[in-house]
Amino acid sequence: MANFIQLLIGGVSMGILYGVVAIGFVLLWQTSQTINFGQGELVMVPMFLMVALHIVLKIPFWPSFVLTLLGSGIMGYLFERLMIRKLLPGGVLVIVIATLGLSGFLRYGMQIAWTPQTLFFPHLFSTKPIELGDIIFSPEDIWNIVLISVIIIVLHLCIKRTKLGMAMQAVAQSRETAELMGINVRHIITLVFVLNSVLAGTAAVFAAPIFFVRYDIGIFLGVKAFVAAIIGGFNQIRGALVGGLTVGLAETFAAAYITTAYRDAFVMILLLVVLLIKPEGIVGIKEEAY
Amino acid sequence: MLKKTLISISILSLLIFFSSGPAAAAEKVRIGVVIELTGAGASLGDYWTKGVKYATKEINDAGGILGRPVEYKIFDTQSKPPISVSAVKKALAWKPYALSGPIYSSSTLANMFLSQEAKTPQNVGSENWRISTKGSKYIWRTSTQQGFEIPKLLSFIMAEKKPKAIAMLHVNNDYGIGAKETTQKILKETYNTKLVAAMACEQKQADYSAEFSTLRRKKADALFVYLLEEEAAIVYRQVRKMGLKLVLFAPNSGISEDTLRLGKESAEGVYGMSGFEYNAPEPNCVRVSKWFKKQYKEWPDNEFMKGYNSVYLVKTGIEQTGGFDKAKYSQKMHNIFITPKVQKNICGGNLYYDDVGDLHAWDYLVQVKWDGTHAKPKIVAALPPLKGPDSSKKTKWYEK
Amino acid sequence: MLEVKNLISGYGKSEVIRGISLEVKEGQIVTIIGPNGAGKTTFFRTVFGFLPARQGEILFENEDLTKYAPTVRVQKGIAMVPQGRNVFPFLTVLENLKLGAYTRYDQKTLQEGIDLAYGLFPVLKERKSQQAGTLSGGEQQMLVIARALMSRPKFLMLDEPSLGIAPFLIKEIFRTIKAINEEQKMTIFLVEQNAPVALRVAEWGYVMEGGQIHMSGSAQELLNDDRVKGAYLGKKD
Ligand SMILES: Nc1ncnc2c1ncn2[C@@H]1O[C@H](COP(=O)(O)OP(=O)(O)O)[C@@H](O)[C@H]1O
Ligand SMILES: [Mg+2]
Repeated sequence: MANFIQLLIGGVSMGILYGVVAIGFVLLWQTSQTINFGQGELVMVPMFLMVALHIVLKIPFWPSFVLTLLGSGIMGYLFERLMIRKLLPGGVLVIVIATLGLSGFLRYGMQIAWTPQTLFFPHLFSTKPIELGDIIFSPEDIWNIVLISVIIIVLHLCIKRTKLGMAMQAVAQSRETAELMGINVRHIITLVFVLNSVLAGTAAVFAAPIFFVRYDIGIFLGVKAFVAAIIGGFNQIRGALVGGLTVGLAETFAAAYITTAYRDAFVMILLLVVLLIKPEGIVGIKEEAY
Repeated sequence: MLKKTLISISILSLLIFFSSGPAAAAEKVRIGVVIELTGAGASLGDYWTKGVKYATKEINDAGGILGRPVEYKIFDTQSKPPISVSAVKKALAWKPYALSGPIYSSSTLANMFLSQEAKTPQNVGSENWRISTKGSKYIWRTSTQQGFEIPKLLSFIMAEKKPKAIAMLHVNNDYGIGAKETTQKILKETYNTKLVAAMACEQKQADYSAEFSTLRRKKADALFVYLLEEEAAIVYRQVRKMGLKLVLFAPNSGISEDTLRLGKESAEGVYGMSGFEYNAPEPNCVRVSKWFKKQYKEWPDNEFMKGYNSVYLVKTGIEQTGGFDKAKYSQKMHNIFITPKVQKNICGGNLYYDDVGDLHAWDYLVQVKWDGTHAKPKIVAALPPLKGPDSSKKTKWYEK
Repeated sequence: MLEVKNLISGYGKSEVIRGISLEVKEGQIVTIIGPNGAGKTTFFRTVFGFLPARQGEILFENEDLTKYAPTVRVQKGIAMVPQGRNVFPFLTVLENLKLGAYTRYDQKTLQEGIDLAYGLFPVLKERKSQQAGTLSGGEQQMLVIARALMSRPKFLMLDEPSLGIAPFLIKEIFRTIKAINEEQKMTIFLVEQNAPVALRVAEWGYVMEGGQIHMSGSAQELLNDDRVKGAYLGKKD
């Protein structure tokens, strides 16, 4: 039992991180039918930004964090205005190819411009383990789970309760009808790109102490988040979260109870099974329903 | 019209400028550097390349090899075995005298047949034991292979730490699986015991809760961390974070500068083996490391010394042969004892190359110490090589 | 209120609207009738701005709209109920209504609008927390009309509100349209294939065929016209 709880915490603390990045995928897909293969790089760049501010320039944590989110937002804004907006009429395939290109550019750009090395990043929370009977908690894992949950809940409330959130939902469900309501669809899409980047930036700050900071981390996180979004359901924010947690837990439990060697393979099998049995994802809705 | 002519002329002159190679190139000793420039191994590849660059400059400043300057060209393997094969093909098409790299064992195993076919010396940074079983007469290592490193490390851990249950985390590739096989074999044959758990880990893996739950269940008291640099550092941090009490020990990659820079205080106490470390008590290691520190503001990883030596090995071979015949080079460079007298700049002191290109040199058993700002490997003992003239020498203790 | 001059538009290479001029006077209900495929929807979409006008002018209160995006046209006081039932299927009835008031989101107008909607279509109040996608066709049509009223438009465009709806509901919907026109003093521009129903509520009518206006007159005149009778009123009545 203790072992089970221990694994649960491990799986959830990873899964929720995948989930946050996956939520961005889903937001973009819903509002603008874009699949962003540069999603992982939108995490990687803020990681380096955080290193630049917090470690190189020695700015305290919270100001660095805020500046990193700001930088992420600006990056998302430019990403949409300078690239996506021009390519959107070309369809999904054009966007996929363009974002793949951008991801490579950012990755190798960072490697050449800064460093091919992995950079150190300190723990954000105490590393003193807390023992509770047989179970050992790491404050870092618990804080990550709690804080990311709070962020997701706030995001959820914003989308459900605010005017802009409602407009985002409207655009996601029908662009033309949204326009009929007087909603400026372009502005909403820009806003969603900014939001996506800020979410990715948040994930970056939490991920940096766990993964360290390296130019190619984006491939890993991007693929995990993409798989999570497909498993959970690409057209549901809930789906992204469920998918993230599923991937995190599946990895951990497969590693513990089957073999560590095939943790990634197990996730891929899970992906195939979901695609065969419920292609719209665990909590996804069939697209025809629109 | 004038513009067109001008453009044609400038293109032509550029072509001539760049293709002016053949005549001059024949006079140069070409080294094709086939290396992890991008991908997971990019950081190591970067150190290696810097080593090649420095050695080349040093040699050329001192008049080259038998009067010919060294010239190198880099071919990226992207850290992927199939791409390393095409990289070696491209490198060989450039007609080099020798190859330098790659580091990743999986890549070397995939591409080493090419240098064997082309009868071109290849100095690699890989440590998988299978490489020296393939029968190539054109492959040399720049570091001790795992088959020799692991027994030395185990002999220390078993004798000094007396662990009751040893577990192992290894990277899920040829390098890691080779190490697992070697470890199991030695534990069985020499100590009549076995690993309580051997777990393969993925690259970039950051959650080890599954592995740690197994460690607890099996009551492991020692953990052999056979991972790449970044993952090793992550494991050290996770072990501290979860409050596990284990004797940690690791191969070279687990105590290299790249790992310790990331692991910081969580690497405190880790035991490891090191060959050409920047703080090895050997004058050439110290000399090139100091140069590196001055140049790049940090201490080098051992890959820097390995890349450096990969060029000096070529120099040694050619000088020993007295010419540029590759078959004779191959003969000369086997069963050779390279001392500072033979090659004054080469790192690592006395190097012995056996009949399959395996390196036998002094290794240092180190323990990581945290001084408040840096984690540094502190030398505990110098262990003699298993083969060659120095193998009869005794372990030198620095601290006990 | 609305004056269209020589409007030309279409899709890709094909020109669907081929020079239409017409006028809608303030306070009236004006209808365009015509067979399926005449270009009525295309015309409406052009007036609202979903399709660009290739030529001609669309004057709304003497201002040319052609340079404005649809969102701006909403702000100028135009609302449209498009053909088909364009609800937001995964939002509740109430959320759909609130989005209708997107351009005027102050609490007071919002509440007034919601009260008006519930007054016009009581069934919406019963279903206010239900997902709009689960409503029946008629209920969805009511919701879409009510939602269009939420922006307090001066000018309401309705594209075939009777399409695919049970006959008894059609009567109710048209009764409500008439009521909106009379009580709210709202100008209504209506497109219908169902000519008899449309002409009965309207004051003025246009007959569209092949992307052009073939005939116009007061609704009464059209109802009594032999050609109209033959072509559009024939089977029924
Ligand atoms: N999206 C479209 N792309 C191309 N042609 C269209 C499109 N929509 C309608 N059409 C064509 O335009 C003409 C008018 O259609 P429409 O405006 O829908 O007529 P109505 O609403 O009067 O039935 C038809 O011939 C139809 O085939
Ligand atoms: Mg129509």
